[in-house]
Amino acid sequence: MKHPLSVFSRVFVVNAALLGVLAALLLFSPVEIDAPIRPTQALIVVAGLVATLAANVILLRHALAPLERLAQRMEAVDLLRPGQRLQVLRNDEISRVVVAFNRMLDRLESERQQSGRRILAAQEAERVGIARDLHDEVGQVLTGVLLHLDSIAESAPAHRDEIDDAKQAVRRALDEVRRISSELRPEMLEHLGLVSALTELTTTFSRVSGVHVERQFDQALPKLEPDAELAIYRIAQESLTNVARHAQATRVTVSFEQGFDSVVLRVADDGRGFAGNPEEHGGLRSMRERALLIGAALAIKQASPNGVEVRLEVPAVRVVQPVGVL
Amino acid sequence: MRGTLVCGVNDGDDGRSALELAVALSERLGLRLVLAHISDDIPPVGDGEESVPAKANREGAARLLARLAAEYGVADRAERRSGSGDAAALIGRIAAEEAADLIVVGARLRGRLRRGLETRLAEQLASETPVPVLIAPPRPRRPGRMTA
Repeated sequence: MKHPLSVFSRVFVVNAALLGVLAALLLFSPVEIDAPIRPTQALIVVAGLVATLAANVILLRHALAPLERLAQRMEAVDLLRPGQRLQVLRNDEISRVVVAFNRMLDRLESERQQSGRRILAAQEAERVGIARDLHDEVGQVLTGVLLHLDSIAESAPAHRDEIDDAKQAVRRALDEVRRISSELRPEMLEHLGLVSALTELTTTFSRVSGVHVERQFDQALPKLEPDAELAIYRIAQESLTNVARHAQATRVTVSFEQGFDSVVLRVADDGRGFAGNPEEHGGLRSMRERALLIGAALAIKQASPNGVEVRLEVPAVRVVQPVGVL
Repeated sequence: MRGTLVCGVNDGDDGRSALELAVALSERLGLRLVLAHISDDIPPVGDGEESVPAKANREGAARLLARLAAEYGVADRAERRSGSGDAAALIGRIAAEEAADLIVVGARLRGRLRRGLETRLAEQLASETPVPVLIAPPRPRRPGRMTA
């Protein structure tokens, strides 16, 4: 803590010193001011004023620089990118504001994490409910319609062709219901694990979108917690959805490999990429939110030579910090 | 890979000395290498159509990164990131996104006797990221570049 003086004291001392120097120059220098003032005298007065103002600017800028940094940080703060804190270099009122701001960020980030976790849990529960309803209700109704069409076909052989067309349409609808239901509730993840679920996800994506998928999955990966596995699955799913919607890609590489005390998911396409840094909203923010909740690092960037790469690095082991040492 | 190293690069002596050190460290320690070039142009606002100058800056940054990666023999393994705006904030952000274990930045010689180091970026990074920052020492001055 280099500056024990308060900001008020420092500003006061700076101005008092400058005015004191100015007064001393006027009192003890041989300069005289005539009326009307002569050009050389006017020049000396103006030069003195400029020098005083310049010194004032330099000294005040130094004293108030932390406020400028604080304002910049306040404008740029993003709770989805936690951990950015201002350094406290002094011991004055501005530093106390900085400390209070850092504490406020701690609180906001913690609250954001808790509320994000609750929202995602509610979202997952809702998805499971919709998937169950789709499968159990709509699926059953469509199956009933199929059976009904079969019985009509037997009693009205003259209309067999039209009935077959209707049955085809109902079967397509049933397939769609099953696909949407499995996207909403990845049962494969619960029963066979993440690698199998990602394999099924990429296979379905390739079949539906027509984009060729190259898979690179390590078979022996460290164990992850269920919330981390779900987040990885959802981020892979969102990335592939973005590829299908925006990328105009012909090929996408999905890798899931061991990192350094971590696992790394990469989804890289060969599409048109994005221009500059895209505004993150909707799906991209949701991905960032999920990554934040499991303590993972998420990069969404230009792939080489073109396209977009999503890289998610998830710590494999949650390190528990010791509370204290006796 | 045993971790990730992010290196702030530019075409100046400081950026090159940082890159030289980063390449050597990443090879020796088996680290993934991410090269980051940040220009101080005004960053584009919103996600509408990219302006012509912004596109030119982005493409210029991509060319510079490709050239430097090729020059230092890491074109096939170094990943590249670029951006425009506040260098410390963006390098800190890239380090967080890439799960970096270390950031390497360059420094310039400072003062008339050139005995001090200009390390403003490294100092600013201290409040942007918890990732340790390593300052690459400036390379020896090239003959014929001495200023009066």
